Amino acid sequence: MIKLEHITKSFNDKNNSVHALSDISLTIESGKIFGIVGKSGVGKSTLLKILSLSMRPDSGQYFLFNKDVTLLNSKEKKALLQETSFIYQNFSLLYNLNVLDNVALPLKLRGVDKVTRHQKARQMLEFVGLIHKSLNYPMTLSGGEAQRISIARALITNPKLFFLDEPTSALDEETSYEILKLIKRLHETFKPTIIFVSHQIQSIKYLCDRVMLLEDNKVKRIGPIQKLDTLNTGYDAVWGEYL
Amino acid sequence: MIVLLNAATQSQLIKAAGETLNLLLMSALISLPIGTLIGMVLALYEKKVFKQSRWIVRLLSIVVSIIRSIPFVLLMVIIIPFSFNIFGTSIGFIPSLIALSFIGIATVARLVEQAIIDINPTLYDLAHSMGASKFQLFKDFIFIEARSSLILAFTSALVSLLAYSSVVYIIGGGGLGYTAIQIGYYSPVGQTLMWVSTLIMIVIVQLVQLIGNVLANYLNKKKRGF
Repeated sequence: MIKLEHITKSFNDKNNSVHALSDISLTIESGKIFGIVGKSGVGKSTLLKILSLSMRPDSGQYFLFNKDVTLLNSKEKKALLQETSFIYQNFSLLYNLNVLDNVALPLKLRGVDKVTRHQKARQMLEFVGLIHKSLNYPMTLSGGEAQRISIARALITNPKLFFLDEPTSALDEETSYEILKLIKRLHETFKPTIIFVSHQIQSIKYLCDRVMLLEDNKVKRIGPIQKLDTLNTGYDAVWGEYL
Repeated sequence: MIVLLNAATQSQLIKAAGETLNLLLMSALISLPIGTLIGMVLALYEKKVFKQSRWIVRLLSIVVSIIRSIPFVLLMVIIIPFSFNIFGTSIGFIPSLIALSFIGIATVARLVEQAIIDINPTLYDLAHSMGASKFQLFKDFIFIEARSSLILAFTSALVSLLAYSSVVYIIGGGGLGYTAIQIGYYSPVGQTLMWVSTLIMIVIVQLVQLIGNVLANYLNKKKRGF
């Protein structure tokens, strides 16, 4: 269970203070796919940074796996992070490591021996259908393949929670659909909680159980996605009509 | 060309080449690790990986800039009293090595800082999201991605050190600069010695650059086709 209560975050410079998030409260049930949607600059990235423990909120409480993370020290936060995985828009693969070593990297950081981590990495590559690319380097991969590799890397530690930061926005429509199908299969197979940030309504609709719409750095609406059609006429129109 | 030199001059040249290589090697052994460490600290503060004691790092950055700003000939002279007080000698190998090490550390620090700053910034987020320690961040992310740039940075630093080493004869450091200028250029019969000394320096630079380029190229997998 993930719970945010009255989270706020501002950024200050010399002359003024900019509100990035105002009074955000939400609950995400374990094993569900939760979408965060909103236009650019509404605070999606800031919220994801707070959720993934790379930024502290100014006020409010954040409970991750029933622990109040605002009270944890950095060692305890690192232990919590081991239960999570991140999938980025730009894949964030290490270009000087081959595919197998990229996928095995999280296990290397945990001190797992080379034979075991490579064995596990091969299993993950089988899952994403790219075992034949094990010895390739990332520059030889297409965007879709690179994202599959980053999904395999995220999976290797068997995390309870995935953060997906616009994982398909750098891809064409057909490849995006393939990646969304893979994420759905991942969810069906491993049953993790997934927090999916996107500005693409179609992707949100395809994957998510519940969705939060951010507007002007606040929660505009929060609820289940049921009737969203193929509309893409602006968030207000879509949400005003269907939620 | 070397056969045009008589036996005495040949042995003088071999001794000078040995002195230059010795200075280059020793100053590299001092400046590469220390300069790399300083460059790394400067870059990681720049990237906000470290946040404590910011003023110390600012001071370090200013010192690096000052050392790089001082003309090397002047730096050698400034170092003479320091060398005399600490090591009891104001001429020869020791003050030459100190001067070369100072400029080497400052040069390597700036080159390493730039090489690290240039890597993909999302790697820092990635390392954080995987719960990597600061040491792992450097070893398993930054070093892996910046290694070919670091090799090229070290190569440039070595070439600079070799160039600087050609003037340490002014404070008795000897080397190929001494044979090329002091007993080459200034002697009415030393033109050949000057050219041979220059040629040896060119060969050393070409070798260093070749090895650096081949190694950097081998470690760089960012190009298609690997």
